[in-house]
Amino acid sequence: MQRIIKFYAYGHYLRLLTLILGFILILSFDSRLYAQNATFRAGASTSNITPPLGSGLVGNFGIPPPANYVHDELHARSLVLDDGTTKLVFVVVDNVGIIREVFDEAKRLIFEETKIPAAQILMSSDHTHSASSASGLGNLRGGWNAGMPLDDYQRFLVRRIADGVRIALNNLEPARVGWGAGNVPQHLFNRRWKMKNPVVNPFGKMDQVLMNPGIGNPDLLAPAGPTDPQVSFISVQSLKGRPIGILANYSLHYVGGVPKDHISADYFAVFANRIQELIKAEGQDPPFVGIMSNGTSGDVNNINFGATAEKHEPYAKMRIVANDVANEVLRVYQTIQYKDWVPLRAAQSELNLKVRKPDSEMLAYAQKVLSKPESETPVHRLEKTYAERTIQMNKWPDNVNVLMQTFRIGELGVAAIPFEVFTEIGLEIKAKSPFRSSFTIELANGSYGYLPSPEQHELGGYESWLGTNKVEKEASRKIVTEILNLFNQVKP
Amino acid sequence: MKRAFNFQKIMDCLFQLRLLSGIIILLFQFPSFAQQAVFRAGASTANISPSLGEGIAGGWMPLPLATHIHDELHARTLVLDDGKVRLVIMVVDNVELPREVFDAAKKLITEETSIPKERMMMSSTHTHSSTWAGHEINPPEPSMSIRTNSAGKYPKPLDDYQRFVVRRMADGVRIALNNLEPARIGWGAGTVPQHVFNRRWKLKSPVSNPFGVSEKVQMNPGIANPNLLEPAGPTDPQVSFLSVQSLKGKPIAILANYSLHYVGGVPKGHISADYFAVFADRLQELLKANRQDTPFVGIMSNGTEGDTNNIDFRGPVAQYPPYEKMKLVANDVAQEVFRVYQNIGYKEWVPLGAAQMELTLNVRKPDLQLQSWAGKAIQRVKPDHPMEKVFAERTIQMKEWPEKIDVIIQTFKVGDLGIAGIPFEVFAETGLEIKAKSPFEKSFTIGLANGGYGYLPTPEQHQMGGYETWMSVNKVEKEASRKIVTEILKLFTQVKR
Repeated sequence: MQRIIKFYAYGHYLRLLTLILGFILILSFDSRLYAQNATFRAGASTSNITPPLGSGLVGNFGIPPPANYVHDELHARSLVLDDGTTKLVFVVVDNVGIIREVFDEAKRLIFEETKIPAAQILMSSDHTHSASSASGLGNLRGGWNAGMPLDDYQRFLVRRIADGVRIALNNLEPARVGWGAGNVPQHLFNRRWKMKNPVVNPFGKMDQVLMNPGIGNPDLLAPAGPTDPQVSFISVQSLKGRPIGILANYSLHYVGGVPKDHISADYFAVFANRIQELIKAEGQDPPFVGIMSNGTSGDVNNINFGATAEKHEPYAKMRIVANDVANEVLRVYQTIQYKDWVPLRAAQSELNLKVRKPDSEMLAYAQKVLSKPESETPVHRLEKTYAERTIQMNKWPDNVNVLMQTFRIGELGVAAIPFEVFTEIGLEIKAKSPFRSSFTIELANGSYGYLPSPEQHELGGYESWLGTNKVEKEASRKIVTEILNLFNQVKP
Repeated sequence: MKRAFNFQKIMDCLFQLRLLSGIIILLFQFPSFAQQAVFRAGASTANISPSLGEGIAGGWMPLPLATHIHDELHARTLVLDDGKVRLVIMVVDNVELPREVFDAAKKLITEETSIPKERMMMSSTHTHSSTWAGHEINPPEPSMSIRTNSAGKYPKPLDDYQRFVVRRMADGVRIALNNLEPARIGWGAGTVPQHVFNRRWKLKSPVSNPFGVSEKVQMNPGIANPNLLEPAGPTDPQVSFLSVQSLKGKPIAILANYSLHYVGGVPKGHISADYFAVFADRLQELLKANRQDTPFVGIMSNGTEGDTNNIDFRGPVAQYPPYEKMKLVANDVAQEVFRVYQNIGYKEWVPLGAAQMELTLNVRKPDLQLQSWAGKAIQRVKPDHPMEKVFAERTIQMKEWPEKIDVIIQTFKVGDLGIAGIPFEVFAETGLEIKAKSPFEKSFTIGLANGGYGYLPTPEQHQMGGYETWMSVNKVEKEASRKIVTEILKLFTQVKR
């Protein structure tokens, strides 16, 4: 400050000189020439977020079973990239789905501590089904809980996420960056099936589509949607070739198969460990960090409903899948080209979506279902659950603002959507993206349930049910449009 | 049915019933019965890394705040089960946990698992790169000592980090219990003399301490100080360990014990488990026990390290980049454990036992003369000794302590191996004395176990003075080490029966 004041005191000439200098400075900031002289850096970290035993494990219907065992620790995994002017932060958290309030608070803390703006931070849940709730406890989960004070685990998570980013920043070092994609089609199955005969849903209506219809169900007609076999990844290495981190993206709901009271990061952590082993990055200081982010997997899981049932020991299936995905990443990893510098950009917007609220007919139906005596045979086994959810949805506001975000990493585009996005939507974004390569991270920056396309809404099924789906049926259209807008804002 | 009939017949005769009970009791005590029981072991780690921004203990006030986690901190647990008795051995990455934290964890574990507290031996590693989990994490006054507030204000509600650690310790025991599997057990000891140095040196000419008294001994006197005469005490070069494997030979855990204060050398602001974790990782690597499901757990417990560190004061000065020295030491210790490990004999079953008592010790309180010195020293503008003010404050703080404290003295029997637990930073010579006089074939002592009450010099070392003997660094009567050794030997004899 003092120096600037002194400068101005010399009068006209210096003032003019400053102006010119300033102009040159501005110009050079914009030019690639300047930027390529800047050093590209990367740093990664893991931060432990394992909940205490006794915490309810969420991911399935019914009362969350209390955790009695930690099979593998849960983490918030961070990757920070820095092109000399812009830092981008990825955080992937081992959780089934984290609400916006928790992510926002973590971003606020990170900005306070590191001055990285929220728009440059992309946080997501990987959708492990063997972790405790970060979206409130009991009825708060799935309810409208914006403005509620964060609970113990949420506060712990916020602190740990922010610490993880600080640690990754401490680990920043000159790096080169590369990306690539392979294919692992054999583990992906669209879990929504068109049925020969319509099936009843919890609202007493008929659906054409059944989610997880049961293996070898004779009523199966055809899968209701596609899968996206691509596994994409970003790799950063030190200038000497030591692996710093790999952020992968694959559109698979999750692979669990853990005893019901086990805490685990499911197949996501197995992938991270396996890729570390494959690239011989063990025992490094700082440690290599493998990360598996979830793609657009709202309707894609690991169960082949058209085949015969297989039995696997606990944790065996996730190893098979994770190892195959890691092997494919390794295969492509060995061929990718690294760049010493690429430009980084971020853009985000708030998209206003209508909340899908029950009409009076649905509310009346819900009340009727809830007043049924226990002895009466339900029309659908989940009718009471969905009656409650119908009433819960009525308490939501009429509109919600959801975060839409895109990152540019050189020629690679990354989109972030706070829903469990259907695979067909992810494929559409990849096809229409202005980037040569791109992928979408789901459950990012918030968690508002499933995002079927309007066509899938027509077909019905679990993901389209009120309560499971929370926003207007046209939402996916608006989201794709907005993501493409934002891609265009950050593209080369 | 037939048995029930027989039983009914016996029930008819009171005398016969008594006889039967006698036989049953005899059977229970007789090894041949017990050997039919299955020996099991299970281990776990529980993550106890603190949040960034907390003060890192180990050095002097004001505490540097944590800005980075270099390696995660853990509570490492080994559970042994002979079919009748379960023993829990837990080692926590902390500089010195107070009894309150251990007690709270034990209470929770007893509630959740019914394991009585006498059968849990919990200790701190003495890493110097962990968050303080004593009473004053954020002392109201920066100059106030963090170390003297442990027993004085007991009981005091646990703070956030202490509660977190307690929960994790209890979870760690539950996880280790879940991991229990039929196991065989062995133990052994090697020697790693090259990394242990007695840090207390006798001097050619005495030096003044913060209390204005001349002393013959100086702690960490500086490398190649020309005033050095000789080390004031011995070191214990032994690294002892206990190994448990599955019946198929898969390593479950190794609990090691080496009498070395710590090896740090980490940048300021770094959270780290120091050399203790490097040892655990390196040993796992040597055993090719990476990526097991259930994971192998390596554990380094601290022995009797109060006067032993890793600095060769004879010189020359050696410079190491951060984390290098700890790797060097940990690798050598792991290598020696691995050497002996390959030759130890395993047993399918050994009897387990535990005994503990509460020993009442007089607290070392400042007399009137010392109090009046402290009162003056606090106000002195130009101190005679750089630490004068700190020790004046600490001296006054010692007044707040109760007259007496009860400390836990504990022993475990693992077959022919005896393990002692002492809640102090015990001097090497005390540890050597226990090893020599122990009724067990092999034994070792875990320091900072079940509490942390500072240094425990012998009466002879008190005579010579030096840091570890100073009021507040040492908190209990000068005869304490004698009483403790006597008590440990009694408990060893008791548990060996």
